[in-house]
Amino acid sequence: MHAAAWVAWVGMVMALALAITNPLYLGIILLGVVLVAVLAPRTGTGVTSFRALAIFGVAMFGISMVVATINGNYGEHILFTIPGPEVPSWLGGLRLGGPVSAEGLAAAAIRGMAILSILLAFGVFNGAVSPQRVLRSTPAALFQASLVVTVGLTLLPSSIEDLRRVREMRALRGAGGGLRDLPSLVVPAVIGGLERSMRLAEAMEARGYGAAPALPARARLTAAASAPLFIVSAWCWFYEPGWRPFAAVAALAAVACLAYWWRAAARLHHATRLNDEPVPAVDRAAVAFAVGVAALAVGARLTGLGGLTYNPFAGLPMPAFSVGGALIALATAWPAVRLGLRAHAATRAEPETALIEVAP
Amino acid sequence: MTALARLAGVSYRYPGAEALALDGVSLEVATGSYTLLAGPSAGGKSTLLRVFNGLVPQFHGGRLAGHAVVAGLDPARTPSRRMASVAGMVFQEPESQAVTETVEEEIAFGMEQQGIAAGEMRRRIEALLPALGIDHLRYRRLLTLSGGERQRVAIASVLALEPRLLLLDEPTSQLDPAGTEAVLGALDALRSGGDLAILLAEHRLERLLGRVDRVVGVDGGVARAMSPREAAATLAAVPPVCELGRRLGLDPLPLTVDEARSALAGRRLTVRATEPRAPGDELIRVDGLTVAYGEHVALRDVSLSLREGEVIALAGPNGSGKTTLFRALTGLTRPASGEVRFAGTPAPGAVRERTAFAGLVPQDPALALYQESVRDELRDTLRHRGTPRAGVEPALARWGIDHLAGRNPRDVSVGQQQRVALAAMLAHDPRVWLLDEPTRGADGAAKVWLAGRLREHAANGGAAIVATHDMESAARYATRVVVLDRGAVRFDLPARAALGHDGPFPAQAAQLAPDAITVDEVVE
Amino acid sequence: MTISAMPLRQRPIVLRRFEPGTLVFVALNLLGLFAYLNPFFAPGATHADSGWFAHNTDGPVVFAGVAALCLVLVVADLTGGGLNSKSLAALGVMAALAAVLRTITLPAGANLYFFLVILGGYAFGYRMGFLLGALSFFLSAVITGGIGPWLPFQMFASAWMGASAGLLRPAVGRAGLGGRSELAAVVVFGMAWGLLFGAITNLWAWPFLAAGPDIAFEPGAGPAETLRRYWNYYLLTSLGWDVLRSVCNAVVLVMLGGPLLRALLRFRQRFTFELG
Repeated sequence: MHAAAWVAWVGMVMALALAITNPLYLGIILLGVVLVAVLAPRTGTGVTSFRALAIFGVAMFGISMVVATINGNYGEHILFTIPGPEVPSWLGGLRLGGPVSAEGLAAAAIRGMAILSILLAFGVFNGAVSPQRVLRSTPAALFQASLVVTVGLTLLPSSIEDLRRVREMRALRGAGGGLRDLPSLVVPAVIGGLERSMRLAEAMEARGYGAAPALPARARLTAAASAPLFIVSAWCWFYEPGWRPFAAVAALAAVACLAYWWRAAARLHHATRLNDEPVPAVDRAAVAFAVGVAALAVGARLTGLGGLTYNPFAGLPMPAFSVGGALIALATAWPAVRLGLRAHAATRAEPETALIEVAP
Repeated sequence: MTALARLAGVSYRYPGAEALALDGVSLEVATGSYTLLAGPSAGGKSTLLRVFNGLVPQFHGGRLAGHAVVAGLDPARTPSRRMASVAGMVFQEPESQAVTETVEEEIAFGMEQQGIAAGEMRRRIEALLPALGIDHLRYRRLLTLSGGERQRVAIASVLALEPRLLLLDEPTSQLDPAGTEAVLGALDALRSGGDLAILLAEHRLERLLGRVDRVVGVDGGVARAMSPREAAATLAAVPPVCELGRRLGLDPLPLTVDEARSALAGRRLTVRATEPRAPGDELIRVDGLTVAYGEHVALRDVSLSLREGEVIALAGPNGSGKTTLFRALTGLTRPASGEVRFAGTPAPGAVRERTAFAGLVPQDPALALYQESVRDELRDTLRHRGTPRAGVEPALARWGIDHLAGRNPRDVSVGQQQRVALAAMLAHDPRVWLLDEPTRGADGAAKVWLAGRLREHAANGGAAIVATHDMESAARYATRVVVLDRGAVRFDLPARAALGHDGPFPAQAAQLAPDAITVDEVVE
Repeated sequence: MTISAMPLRQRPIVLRRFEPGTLVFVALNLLGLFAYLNPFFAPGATHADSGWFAHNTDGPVVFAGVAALCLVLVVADLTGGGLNSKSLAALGVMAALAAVLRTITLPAGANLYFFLVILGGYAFGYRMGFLLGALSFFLSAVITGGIGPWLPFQMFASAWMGASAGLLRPAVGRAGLGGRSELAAVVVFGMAWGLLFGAITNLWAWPFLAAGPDIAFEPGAGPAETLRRYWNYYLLTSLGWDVLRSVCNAVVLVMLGGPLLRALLRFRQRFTFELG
């Protein structure tokens, strides 16, 4: 799968998990993400991080539940009461313990499920996508920032090597190591690295890397103007319901500002790419699908259709369930379909070819 | 031939420096010429090269006076983006000029910055790869390449912009002989192909005097153009064969061993060699040492002994186990099997204790310098070794750096820094010195100085092992030559046998006067 | 030579056309801060129906998104056009080192990341400090697979840490501190950021994770009450770790601050190093 498709998928999972508070649908989302996680390739740099992120996600879920237990007496269905002290009021007056309500636990579980889905999705993303490939296709507006990161990635091995060699040389000079010797380890590694970076800068300059011409002030100010527009728009939308039409106009204006800036940067940027791989049609369709589903979910959320939202504090009712809502939630599993088909094809192929990494 | 570049009365001072780095240099470079810049380190070779593509003064700052024109452009004022397609530059260290991950991307980087279309980039890459003999490396990661391969990739990435002038700043000083030959061979091939002018700065002239059209001697910021033969007669540091020619008054001066041989045909040379003292007690004994990194066996059943008064030149291609042997001797790496004895007793376990007896100076020792003065740097080592503070001043004097004592080690010249690093690693004056390629990138004077230090140390009852590719230098100090090959000892011979005319590494002097290994030993 | 005795950024005095850099930098940072801290002064959501549970996180999510956008815009504005090769390469290598140091875990889960961003920002100024903080955190997330929804907020916190360190140096110079008292100022600054970093980076998940009258986010509760509740959340989930981190920062800065700062400032002088 192309990196763009993965980005779209993660964005979709995030949008859905944040838009939906109905525990039934959240459960479907979580299952979908787990299914993708099982089938997803682990080829990116974050191979080891999936486990870490999964553990982190479960821990967040746990924190959510613990906090709700320790301090959670909203609601009427009191399950049990924990006797607990109160933090002195000058320290905030947090009450530890007290009555624990079913509503509080349900709310914590709902939020925890959303966070867990998002974290798992990012874990899959980190494992499946090579960061170098994403960096290679950054847009013009962020070209220089991505070049810094690329240079950092290039220099990473030599930085590690420098630290190792300086440590050895300290030992060769009879230094004992330990915390007291920290400056003699870190200072030469940092300064040596910076000196090497100046040689690299010189080599880049000799090969024609020069600072790109700066964006015109107009484009930079326009880009900056999008931020206050977005803030005004969000403020009016959430806190001044009478101003919602104005909020929508402000949001559109902000998007227009960003678009203007984006194009100005692209026009100024004349570097080319050796390997400008186009996104395959399948993946472009996947991106469109993900954006569509996310838009659908946000739309359903805004209009209240499909029962995407749920409030446990309204007397713990049974969550609503509809096929439409369930289908939206189920859409998070779409990479599993593609990955499953590929895995099926690979097992039928010759063993030799199955060992070769299939370039998407 | 027409002039591609012309400097007239160019003087330059680095920012904050007192002395001029270049002092009234006037020079012409013809289209398609091959020019060698020779001279001592810190003499101005690198600075002069950088004038041609504008890095001096555009990158380095400082003040430039005089006129420079390269292909009709003023390099001091032309933006680097434009200048790069006129004059390309390759630097000393292969590892600090790569921006990207793979060979192909690296060659494309400069072209991408210029906005060259992908199809054209591919065409140029496909033409350059075979020209430099790196066809097979196209999709490899740069980290996995050898130094010689990486330098050829660097040349390709510069040539991709189709410059008319190629500048190379000591491109082979960090390479082993095979890598050096590959890079110089690639340059020969490029020359025959068109009107590319090449300007190359280098200390080691052995392989170059016979190849270039012209030599520019650069010393103290002053440049003087001359023919290779003139250079052989006048430069301070020249290959042994030229040195011998000078002593014997040969005219014309020979540039290669073959030329010298025909010039000397029929002449009788006598050799006055001094026999080294008989070695004393055994200081280091290694028995059946085997070291493995995972699957890879780096040392295989190596046995070796080192006695008082001996200096071993440890040779062998890169990856043959020289560094690993040093690591195992000092305890940085645990051997899989085998035994190391120091002065008759089993070597202690800790690196600290082992290096008190056998001090190791690894490659690029200047990396670990961090104190704010040279004196503090030596004091730091002595403090860790628990030796009295009084030792600092004698150590400074021994290493000839007393005049630098108050300077910051990061401020002194590269050659001086190298010497400070040696002094810092060996300030406690261990009995045995283990030096890993100490003459890499050093100029002639520094090599002669180090050979003197090694002989003096051996004469005072010490001993040393020196890993090196530079057998001409080794002839000046070594009493034995040990050659490693794929982790095993291939030869272990007295220096005279190894470097003599029928040995495995005949020195230039030996090829002309059979019993000599250095020029100093030859008399008429 | 004391650190502040060295000249500050030497700026060539030339008349230039209007340069929007500082204006854009200040405005976007303030707007980003406003958006990010929005939970503290947001008025109550106007949902008369029972949907408030569903809706009380909407505002924080959208405002957090705007904050992330501000971060991207600041980084783009600082780097886009005019990042010369020296700054680019130095940032790359500092980011690489910071990312490596972040993987070296010291006792109590603290690590060596913070001091490099603080000292780098202190030595090279607020713009470089901002980029160093933001990009080194990004690089470290890329190599450890730590990309996630928290990343923009960690980057922002880290960037603010670097930028404020860059602003600390002129302040210290103006206050006439030198030698030991200058180092003490840097150490106290590092300790404060040890706590502040946790306080900033924990905010993003708070509206989602906590439920309870003393601890949950509730729109419209007012700044004082919201701050009290966030403090409770912070006390319960993060303070312990942050105190350890703060102490570790202090120890590392006491050990390293002097020599590394002197070395960095020398480096800047020697290479006539400027961001621009």
